Amino acid sequence: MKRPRRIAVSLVVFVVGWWLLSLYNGRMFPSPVTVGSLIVEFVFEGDIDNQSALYHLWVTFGRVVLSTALALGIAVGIGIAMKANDGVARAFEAWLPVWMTPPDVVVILVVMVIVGFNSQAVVIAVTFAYTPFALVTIWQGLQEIDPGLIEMADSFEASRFEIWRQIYVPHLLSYIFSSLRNLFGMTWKVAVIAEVFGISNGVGSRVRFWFLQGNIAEVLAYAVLFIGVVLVIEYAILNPIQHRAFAWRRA
Amino acid sequence: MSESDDTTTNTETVDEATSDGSVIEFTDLKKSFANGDDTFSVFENLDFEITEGSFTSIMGPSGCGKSTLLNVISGLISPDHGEIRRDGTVVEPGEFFYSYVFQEPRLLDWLTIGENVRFALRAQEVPPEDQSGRIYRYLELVGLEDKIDSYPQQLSGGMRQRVGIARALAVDPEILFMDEPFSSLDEFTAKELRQDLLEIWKETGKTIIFVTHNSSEAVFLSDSILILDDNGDLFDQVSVGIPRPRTIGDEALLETESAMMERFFAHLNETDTDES
Repeated sequence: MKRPRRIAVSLVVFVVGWWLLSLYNGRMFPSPVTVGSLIVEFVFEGDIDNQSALYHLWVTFGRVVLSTALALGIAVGIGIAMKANDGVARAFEAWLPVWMTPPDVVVILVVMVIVGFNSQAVVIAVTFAYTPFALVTIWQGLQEIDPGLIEMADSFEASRFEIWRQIYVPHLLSYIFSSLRNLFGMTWKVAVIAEVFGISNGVGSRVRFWFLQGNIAEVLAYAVLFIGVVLVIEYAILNPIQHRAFAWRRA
Repeated sequence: MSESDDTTTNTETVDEATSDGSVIEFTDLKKSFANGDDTFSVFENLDFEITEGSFTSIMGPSGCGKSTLLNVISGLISPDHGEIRRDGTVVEPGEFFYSYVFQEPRLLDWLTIGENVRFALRAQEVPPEDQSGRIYRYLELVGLEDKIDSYPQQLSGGMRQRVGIARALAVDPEILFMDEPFSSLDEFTAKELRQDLLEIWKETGKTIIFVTHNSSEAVFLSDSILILDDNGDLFDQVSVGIPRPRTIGDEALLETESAMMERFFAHLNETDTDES
């Protein structure tokens, strides 16, 4: 089967399955039609807070992008410091497992207690929770660089700057990219959880609101919308970038 | 290049195309490494000379210090003592302008072939306006000018090694160091590349110092072969006077090789008996 057809078939199977579930219990499993019309309503006419669902998506999206960028930037910075200094490397290697261990919910709550229930808290919590995951990938990338390439560059007396520009950075780029995709998939979820805990805007805040009303259809509407946006970003933005940036790999 | 006026050296060269070079003499080279409280001597009392423009091989078993010697000559490692003279004048090891061809091609996979060569040119601060011309010229020399926009992973192992050679030559070194450049290729490709290397050498007139542990390769390629034993002693220096072009499997080459190897094994037996 060709790819578009495969995607179409699996979507149809998914929707039909969902619809069958809704026939069984419409209150617990609102039908795709109900959820679909809610999405249209929330997007074009607004939720009952008079804000379009797109506004909430946009707010969440902003937090996700910011914290992903911060996590990645900090990870690259620490990675470079680790590469440059053995002491730094040993310290972070020892502490990384500890840093990766606390449950996201604990991180979110502690940060919110310290920073307050606001947007910054979401960004800080997500950044803190996911920097170590990015760091693991970046550090692995820096260690996997072929020392022969550096020796080659030294034999031509290439400057440190050229070595970073032409060897370390391009080599790291594939690790940065795969880290970016992983992070993106994870940070969305945590950001929404953080919003559920007490932020007045963003997808999480609407999920909390409708959950407290006991309305599953509205919760699902936000979930579906959200998944749709994540998939669009994945397939329409990240995939093509990766395809172009790593053309040399398909050789 | 001027004719060597150093009468004390007995230059055992070679065929006419390369015999007018000046001479680089290495005297009493010693290199050892600290190993705990002991020092481990890689080589000592090494004396040899290399005619500029000639093709010299350094041969010996694995771990005999071939690569260390290469690094000392190139100035990457400083010797414990010893002297290098060019036409009688003392020079520092790092003074030679050299480039390296490694055992593996060591190309940057994310750059095209042309950009890989440019990397070396840029590192050597070749003016940007000269770079493209040089890239083309040297890729043409190794027969890869039509692959200039390909990526390394689109090329065969032999082609990649050719790019490595083009990159090393493009910076126009005085000495080209080649550290077992064909040992990771299949014999068929290696054979072809050896032939081509001789062509390239003839065309560019570079001084080549070639490390190998393959005796027939050394005999086929070289004007002169320095043979190190397990202890890093330079026990034999063979001059291969067979005129070029040489044919692989040629009687005279085989004879030179077997005589050389006979001496080598006799020497190994001697040192074994001495030690026991």
